[in-house]
Amino acid sequence: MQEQTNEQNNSITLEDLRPRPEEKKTFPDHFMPRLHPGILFDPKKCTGCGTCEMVCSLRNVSKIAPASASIKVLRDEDSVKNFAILCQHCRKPLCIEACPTRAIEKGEDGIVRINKLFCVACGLCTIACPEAAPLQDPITGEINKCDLCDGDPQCVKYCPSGALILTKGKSFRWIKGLRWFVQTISFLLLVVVLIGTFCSLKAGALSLSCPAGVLQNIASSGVVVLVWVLSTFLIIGLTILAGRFFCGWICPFGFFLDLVDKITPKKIGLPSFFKSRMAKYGILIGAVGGSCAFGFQVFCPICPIGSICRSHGAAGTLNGANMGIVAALAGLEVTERRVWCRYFCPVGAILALFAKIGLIKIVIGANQCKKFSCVQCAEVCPMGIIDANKLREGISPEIPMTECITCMRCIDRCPYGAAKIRFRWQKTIPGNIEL
Amino acid sequence: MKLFNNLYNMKVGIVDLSELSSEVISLDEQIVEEKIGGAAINEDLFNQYKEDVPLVIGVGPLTGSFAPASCLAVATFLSPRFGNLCHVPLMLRTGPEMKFSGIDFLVVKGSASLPKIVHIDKGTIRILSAEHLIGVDIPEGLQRLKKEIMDSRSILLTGPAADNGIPGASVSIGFNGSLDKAGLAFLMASKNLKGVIFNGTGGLPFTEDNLKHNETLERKLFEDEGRKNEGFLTMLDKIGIKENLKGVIKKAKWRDMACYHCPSPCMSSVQFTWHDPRKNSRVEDNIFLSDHLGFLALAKKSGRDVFPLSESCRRFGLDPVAVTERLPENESLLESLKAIEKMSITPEEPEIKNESHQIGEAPAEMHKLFGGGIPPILPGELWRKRVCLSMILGVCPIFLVRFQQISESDLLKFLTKNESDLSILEEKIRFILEN
Repeated sequence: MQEQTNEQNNSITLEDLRPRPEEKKTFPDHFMPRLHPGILFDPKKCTGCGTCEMVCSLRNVSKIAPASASIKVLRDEDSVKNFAILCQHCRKPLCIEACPTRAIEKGEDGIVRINKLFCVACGLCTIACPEAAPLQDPITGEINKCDLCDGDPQCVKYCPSGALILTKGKSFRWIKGLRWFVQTISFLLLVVVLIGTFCSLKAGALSLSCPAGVLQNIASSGVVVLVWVLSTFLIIGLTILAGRFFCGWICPFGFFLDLVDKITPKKIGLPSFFKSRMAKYGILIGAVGGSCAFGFQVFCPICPIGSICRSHGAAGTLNGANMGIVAALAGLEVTERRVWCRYFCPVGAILALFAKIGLIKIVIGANQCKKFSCVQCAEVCPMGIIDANKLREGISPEIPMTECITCMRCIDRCPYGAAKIRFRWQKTIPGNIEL
Repeated sequence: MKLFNNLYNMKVGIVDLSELSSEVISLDEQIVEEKIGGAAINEDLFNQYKEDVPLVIGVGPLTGSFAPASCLAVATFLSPRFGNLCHVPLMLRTGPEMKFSGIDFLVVKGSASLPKIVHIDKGTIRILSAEHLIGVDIPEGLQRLKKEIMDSRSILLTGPAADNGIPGASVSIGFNGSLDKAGLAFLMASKNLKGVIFNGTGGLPFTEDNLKHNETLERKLFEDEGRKNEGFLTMLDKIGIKENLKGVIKKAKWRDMACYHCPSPCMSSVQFTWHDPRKNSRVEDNIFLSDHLGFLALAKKSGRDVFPLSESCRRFGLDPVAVTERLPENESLLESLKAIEKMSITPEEPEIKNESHQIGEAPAEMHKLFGGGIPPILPGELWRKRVCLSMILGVCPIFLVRFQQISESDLLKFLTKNESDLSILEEKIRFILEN
């Protein structure tokens, strides 16, 4: 009797082998991108020959049977474009959540696999997957899903046109580090060393000014002084060259908001009437109009950028009303990231106008983008200008350079190198010809 | 020597449209031993059912296998345009899908009283009604079919031109057109056969050797010229194309496309913008270019309007060569478009000029034997032998006339590695080619 009990205790059931929900591999965000393998599909190179399906089916059913492959190359008859259906090995796979028998796991190598032992071919993973990548085998009825051939995908190996590329997920982590470094130095320089000089700096023949301040100055005095206009050349020139680089990399208030963002949970939604990106232009017009009417720069005393720049030292305004504005705007970070920069900043409004004619653009969703399942770029964008819904619909969103602060966090985060910085005139989609 | 049993389903589907009945019979092993496959067995089956004016579609032993460009199905019938027995190559994925659908040869005899579609899946033949597709253009017809019949991996469809009894009608593989210039679509329409659907969910056994042999052949192919390829333009270059037209295609080319398991694409898709005179607006369009001779013939007459006119031909299911013969000289685009539309409804016998079938050095009679769509880019006898070989083995004829470095024995090695079997096969092939 005792022996029998021991035997029962020692026997392993399928239930014991099945991964528990709490054991599902979930990795912290900072770790995941390094282990995000996948196959990149280049629709421009794909000839639709189906060799990938042939070799894939060999692994699934040991036959040349394209219908049983885990990769499907389909052609849209209207647009004459090929597209591939294959597992993206998502960061947070929905198929794992959907599987009622816990047959799907994400391994530590980042590969999402189906354990055929537990799979009952219910097809829920197919429904849950935004790519519909798990495919039911018409011969065996089993669910087939790409497992990257355990790291050596045959479809990539045999693709004659090189349209499939294995990626282990790349990350330009240095951009993030460099940006924090530049922001810290700029903050220390403008706030601690050169106190208040962001608004206006005169060193010998060199004269630098805030463009919003100069506009108000001109409006209040009614005189256009060429030196004032020329003193904005550095910041305007930088904007034409690199978009709103100032906002993303140099602005001390922007850096302050980034720091606040690190410790602020996003729990409250911003009322929709606040959410107008045109509001900043209104504030700019109001500031210029007010300056003209009252004869002094009406916005500068309450400008949060100026306030923070003037906050340090004996003449600082640490205890002044200005810092109350800074604190109030920092409080808005509980709603969205960089609320001030998105909707209200008049300096940003001026720079946005010049960024519109700038030399560069950010492009997301070139051939490598795994639009449906990744959307990491949309998650990290501090200005909220990357439309995740469009990405999920498979559409490459256009990035409005008037709103982009060129922080390059999307480029930094994209594990597939799909977010890129390009010159404005560079074509990023195939060009049409005029007949 | 049962070399072929694994490469065939050993099944022949017989469809009697007069009786609306179908049966699947076994393929006679002796015929396979003697004739090997493709056009040779088709011809044999044609002769067996000669009295019923049959249409025979069949595949070769290599169709669907790891042999390069193993995409071919051959349609054999009495050409209503040329008056001789004709073998029309059906490329893209037709061959493999047919084989994977469970039958190797399909004989369609008699004619139905109402339009029908033949659907083949898992070795079962269904005859479906197609009355609602009469007069409907090809893209619309395809869309309706795909909605109604989910299991439709490869569709052969005739358009309104065939419905209206136009001898210059051409069958379309999906919305990709075909090389049918011999009146296959006309014959299908005369039988009230609107289309044939293959749903290839089965498979073929494979050997590791074949995969390696394929790699060796691909290396051999690209040793000299590398993988540089210009798709549709590569073939046009060989036939002879004007530089200005070449420039237009080059600019509009979006991507090269290949048939099943072809390492060297000879088709392209193009994107273009044109002024549609019917709507009086600019339209963005895409077109898949697969018919080299048809495109050249149309381009000769219409110059830069060739893209919209090709699209129109494809939409109505017309052969561009036949259209060119009837298209008036020096007409505006609007007039030409109207003329094509009229051609698809006016059952007017086109004047068949021999010149259009005498491009290159291949004898016109031989050219007509193979449907009139295979570019005759080799000297007559060599061209005939290469095309015959492809039609028997089930490999793309364009691929074989283009790459002479792929020898007969290179292909036969996919069937056997045994030296004595190989020499017997070579002997048989030689005998078939000579007769």
